[in-house]
Amino acid sequence: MDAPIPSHHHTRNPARHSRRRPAILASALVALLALAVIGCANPAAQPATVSYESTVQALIPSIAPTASPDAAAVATEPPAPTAALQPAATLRPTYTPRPLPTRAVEGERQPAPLFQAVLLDGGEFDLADTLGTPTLVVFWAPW
Amino acid sequence: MPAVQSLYADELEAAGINVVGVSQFNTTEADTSAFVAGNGLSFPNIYDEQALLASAYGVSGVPSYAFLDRDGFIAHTSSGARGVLLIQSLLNELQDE
Repeated sequence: MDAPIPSHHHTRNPARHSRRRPAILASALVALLALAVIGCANPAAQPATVSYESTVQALIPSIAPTASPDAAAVATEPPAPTAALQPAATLRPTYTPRPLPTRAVEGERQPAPLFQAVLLDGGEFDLADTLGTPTLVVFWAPW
Repeated sequence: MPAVQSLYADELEAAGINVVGVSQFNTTEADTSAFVAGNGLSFPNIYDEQALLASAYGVSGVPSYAFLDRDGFIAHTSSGARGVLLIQSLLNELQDE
Protein backbone atom coordinates (compact mmCIF):
# COMPACT_ATOMS: atom_id res chain seq x y z
CA MET A 1 0.00 0.00 0.00
CA ASP A 2 2.83 2.35 0.75
CA ALA A 3 4.82 1.67 -2.37
CA PRO A 4 2.70 3.53 -4.90
CA ILE A 5 2.84 6.76 -3.03
CA PRO A 6 6.60 7.34 -3.18
CA SER A 7 6.81 6.11 -6.75
CA HIS A 8 3.93 8.36 -7.66
CA HIS A 9 5.85 11.23 -6.17
CA HIS A 10 8.87 10.32 -8.21
CA THR A 11 7.10 10.11 -11.49
CA ARG A 12 4.91 13.11 -10.94
CA ASN A 13 7.78 15.38 -10.14
CA PRO A 14 11.21 14.20 -11.29
CA ALA A 15 12.76 17.47 -10.18
CA ARG A 16 11.84 16.57 -6.65
CA HIS A 17 14.52 13.90 -6.58
CA SER A 18 17.34 16.33 -7.30
CA ARG A 19 15.85 18.88 -4.98
CA ARG A 20 15.78 16.45 -2.13
CA ARG A 21 19.51 16.05 -1.97
CA PRO A 22 20.22 19.57 -0.74
CA ALA A 23 17.37 19.14 1.69
CA ILE A 24 18.96 15.98 3.08
CA LEU A 25 22.34 17.64 3.25
CA ALA A 26 20.81 20.61 5.00
CA SER A 27 19.08 18.49 7.60
CA ALA A 28 22.31 16.56 8.15
CA LEU A 29 24.08 19.88 8.70
CA VAL A 30 21.44 21.00 11.14
CA ALA A 31 21.82 17.74 13.02
CA LEU A 32 25.60 18.15 13.12
CA LEU A 33 25.25 21.71 14.33
CA ALA A 34 22.82 20.62 17.00
CA LEU A 35 25.27 17.97 18.16
CA ALA A 36 28.06 20.52 18.20
CA VAL A 37 25.96 22.93 20.24
CA ILE A 38 25.04 20.19 22.67
CA GLY A 39 28.69 19.20 22.91
CA CYS A 40 29.67 22.77 23.65
CA ALA A 41 26.83 23.47 26.00
CA ASN A 42 27.28 20.49 28.25
CA PRO A 43 30.77 21.22 29.55
CA ALA A 44 29.75 24.85 30.00
CA ALA A 45 26.71 23.98 32.05
CA GLN A 46 27.51 21.03 34.23
CA PRO A 47 31.21 20.40 34.85
CA ALA A 48 31.88 24.07 35.57
CA THR A 49 31.72 23.22 39.24
CA VAL A 50 34.26 20.45 38.86
CA SER A 51 36.83 22.54 37.04
CA TYR A 52 36.12 25.39 39.40
CA GLU A 53 37.10 23.21 42.33
CA SER A 54 40.33 22.24 40.67
CA THR A 55 41.04 25.89 39.92
CA VAL A 56 40.56 26.74 43.55
CA GLN A 57 43.05 24.08 44.55
CA ALA A 58 45.46 25.13 41.87
CA LEU A 59 45.37 28.74 42.95
CA ILE A 60 46.02 28.19 46.62
CA PRO A 61 49.80 27.81 46.30
CA SER A 62 50.04 30.95 44.21
CA ILE A 63 47.99 33.04 46.57
CA ALA A 64 49.55 31.92 49.80
CA PRO A 65 52.98 33.55 49.32
CA THR A 66 51.43 36.95 48.65
CA ALA A 67 49.17 36.85 51.70
CA SER A 68 50.07 37.38 55.35
CA PRO A 69 53.19 35.73 56.83
CA ASP A 70 50.92 33.13 58.45
CA ALA A 71 49.94 31.96 55.01
CA ALA A 72 53.51 30.84 54.35
CA ALA A 73 53.03 28.10 56.88
CA VAL A 74 49.74 27.13 55.25
CA ALA A 75 51.41 26.98 51.88
CA THR A 76 53.62 24.13 53.01
CA GLU A 77 50.62 22.14 54.15
CA PRO A 78 48.68 21.43 50.96
CA PRO A 79 49.25 17.94 49.59
CA ALA A 80 52.35 17.58 47.46
CA PRO A 81 50.57 16.57 44.21
CA THR A 82 48.88 19.97 43.85
CA ALA A 83 52.10 21.84 44.46
CA ALA A 84 53.98 19.61 42.05
CA LEU A 85 51.42 20.15 39.31
CA GLN A 86 51.25 23.91 39.66
CA PRO A 87 54.44 25.87 39.99
CA ALA A 88 53.45 28.88 42.07
CA ALA A 89 53.67 32.46 40.87
CA THR A 90 52.75 31.64 37.28
CA LEU A 91 49.07 31.33 38.06
CA ARG A 92 47.85 34.84 38.29
CA PRO A 93 45.20 35.11 37.22
CA THR A 94 43.51 31.84 36.50
CA TYR A 95 40.09 31.35 35.07
CA THR A 96 37.71 28.49 34.75
CA PRO A 97 37.25 27.70 31.09
CA ARG A 98 33.63 28.28 30.20
CA PRO A 99 34.27 28.93 26.53
CA LEU A 100 32.11 31.46 24.80
CA PRO A 101 30.53 30.08 21.65
CA THR A 102 31.83 31.89 18.58
CA ARG A 103 28.25 32.43 17.51
CA ALA A 104 25.81 33.27 20.25
CA VAL A 105 22.56 31.38 20.10
CA GLU A 106 19.76 33.87 19.83
CA GLY A 107 17.98 34.46 23.07
CA GLU A 108 20.38 32.28 25.00
CA ARG A 109 22.31 33.88 27.84
CA GLN A 110 26.02 33.20 27.89
CA PRO A 111 27.61 32.32 31.22
CA ALA A 112 30.54 34.59 32.01
CA PRO A 113 33.91 32.82 32.24
CA LEU A 114 34.61 32.54 35.94
CA PHE A 115 38.05 33.55 37.13
CA GLN A 116 40.15 34.04 40.18
CA ALA A 117 43.11 36.32 40.50
CA VAL A 118 45.41 38.04 42.89
CA LEU A 119 44.58 41.73 43.04
CA LEU A 120 47.18 44.45 42.72
CA ASP A 121 46.84 45.10 46.44
CA GLY A 122 47.60 41.45 47.17
CA GLY A 123 44.02 40.45 47.96
CA GLU A 124 42.17 37.66 46.27
CA PHE A 125 39.39 38.11 43.80
CA ASP A 126 37.00 35.34 42.88
CA LEU A 127 34.31 36.18 40.38
CA ALA A 128 32.18 33.39 41.83
CA ASP A 129 31.94 35.46 45.04
CA THR A 130 30.13 38.20 43.12
CA LEU A 131 27.26 35.95 42.07
CA GLY A 132 24.07 37.41 43.44
CA THR A 133 25.02 40.96 42.54
CA PRO A 134 25.66 42.55 39.15
CA THR A 135 29.30 42.93 38.23
CA LEU A 136 31.07 45.13 35.73
CA VAL A 137 34.36 43.79 34.39
CA VAL A 138 36.42 46.62 32.94
CA PHE A 139 39.32 45.79 30.66
CA TRP A 140 41.75 48.64 30.52
CA ALA A 141 45.41 49.51 30.16
CA PRO A 142 47.39 52.33 31.75
CA TRP A 143 48.26 54.03 28.48
CA MET B 1 39.41 54.94 33.67
CA PRO B 2 38.94 58.17 35.60
CA ALA B 3 35.39 58.24 34.17
CA VAL B 4 34.77 54.72 35.44
CA GLN B 5 36.23 55.69 38.80
CA SER B 6 33.83 58.63 39.06
CA LEU B 7 30.87 56.44 38.21
CA TYR B 8 32.06 53.85 40.67
CA ALA B 9 32.49 56.30 43.50
CA ASP B 10 29.34 58.29 42.72
CA GLU B 11 26.88 55.58 41.78
CA LEU B 12 28.00 52.02 41.14
CA GLU B 13 29.33 51.23 44.58
CA ALA B 14 26.23 52.65 46.25
CA ALA B 15 24.02 50.72 43.82
CA GLY B 16 25.72 47.50 44.92
CA ILE B 17 27.38 46.86 41.57
CA ASN B 18 30.76 45.17 41.77
CA VAL B 19 33.45 46.58 39.55
CA VAL B 20 36.69 44.80 38.80
CA GLY B 21 39.37 46.21 36.53
CA VAL B 22 41.67 44.06 34.46
CA SER B 23 44.83 45.62 33.09
CA GLN B 24 46.72 43.99 30.24
CA PHE B 25 48.15 44.55 26.74
CA ASN B 26 51.64 46.00 26.47
CA THR B 27 51.93 47.11 30.05
CA THR B 28 53.55 46.07 33.29
CA GLU B 29 52.33 45.50 36.80
CA ALA B 30 54.36 48.51 37.95
CA ASP B 31 52.75 50.81 35.38
CA THR B 32 49.34 49.44 36.27
CA SER B 33 49.89 50.02 39.97
CA ALA B 34 51.21 53.51 39.34
CA PHE B 35 48.14 54.36 37.29
CA VAL B 36 45.80 52.94 39.91
CA ALA B 37 47.48 55.02 42.61
CA GLY B 38 47.84 58.14 40.48
CA ASN B 39 44.17 58.14 39.49
CA GLY B 40 42.84 56.97 42.81
CA LEU B 41 41.07 53.93 41.39
CA SER B 42 39.27 52.48 44.37
CA PHE B 43 37.73 49.42 42.78
CA PRO B 44 39.71 46.17 42.78
CA ASN B 45 42.15 45.73 39.93
CA ILE B 46 44.00 42.80 38.46
CA TYR B 47 47.14 42.83 36.37
CA ASP B 48 46.76 40.14 33.73
CA GLU B 49 50.16 39.80 32.13
CA GLN B 50 49.10 37.15 29.64
CA ALA B 51 45.70 38.69 28.89
CA LEU B 52 44.09 35.41 29.91
CA LEU B 53 40.90 37.11 30.96
CA ALA B 54 40.71 39.31 27.88
CA SER B 55 40.99 36.23 25.77
CA ALA B 56 38.42 34.36 27.85
CA TYR B 57 35.99 37.23 27.36
CA GLY B 58 36.85 37.77 23.71
CA VAL B 59 38.25 41.22 24.38
CA SER B 60 40.82 42.53 21.92
CA GLY B 61 41.05 46.20 22.84
CA VAL B 62 40.69 48.63 25.70
CA PRO B 63 38.60 49.96 27.17
CA SER B 64 36.13 47.11 27.00
CA TYR B 65 33.33 46.28 29.37
CA ALA B 66 31.47 43.13 30.26
CA PHE B 67 28.46 43.52 32.45
CA LEU B 68 27.42 40.35 34.27
CA ASP B 69 23.98 39.99 35.71
CA ARG B 70 23.46 38.73 39.23
CA ASP B 71 23.36 35.14 37.99
CA GLY B 72 26.79 35.36 36.38
CA PHE B 73 25.61 35.61 32.80
CA ILE B 74 26.91 38.18 30.37
CA ALA B 75 24.16 40.75 30.11
CA HIS B 76 25.94 43.36 28.00
CA THR B 77 29.31 44.02 26.47
CA SER B 78 30.68 47.24 25.11
CA SER B 79 33.95 48.81 24.14
CA GLY B 80 35.44 52.21 23.54
CA ALA B 81 33.79 55.44 24.58
CA ARG B 82 30.37 53.82 24.49
CA GLY B 83 31.30 51.95 27.64
CA VAL B 84 30.36 54.84 29.88
CA LEU B 85 26.98 55.00 28.18
CA LEU B 86 26.62 51.30 28.87
CA ILE B 87 27.25 51.86 32.55
CA GLN B 88 24.69 54.65 32.64
CA SER B 89 22.05 52.54 30.92
CA LEU B 90 22.76 49.67 33.29
CA LEU B 91 22.22 51.94 36.24
CA ASN B 92 18.94 53.07 34.74
CA GLU B 93 17.91 49.47 34.19
CA LEU B 94 18.67 48.58 37.77
CA GLN B 95 16.75 51.56 39.03
CA ASP B 96 13.77 50.46 36.94
CA GLU B 97 13.77 46.97 38.45
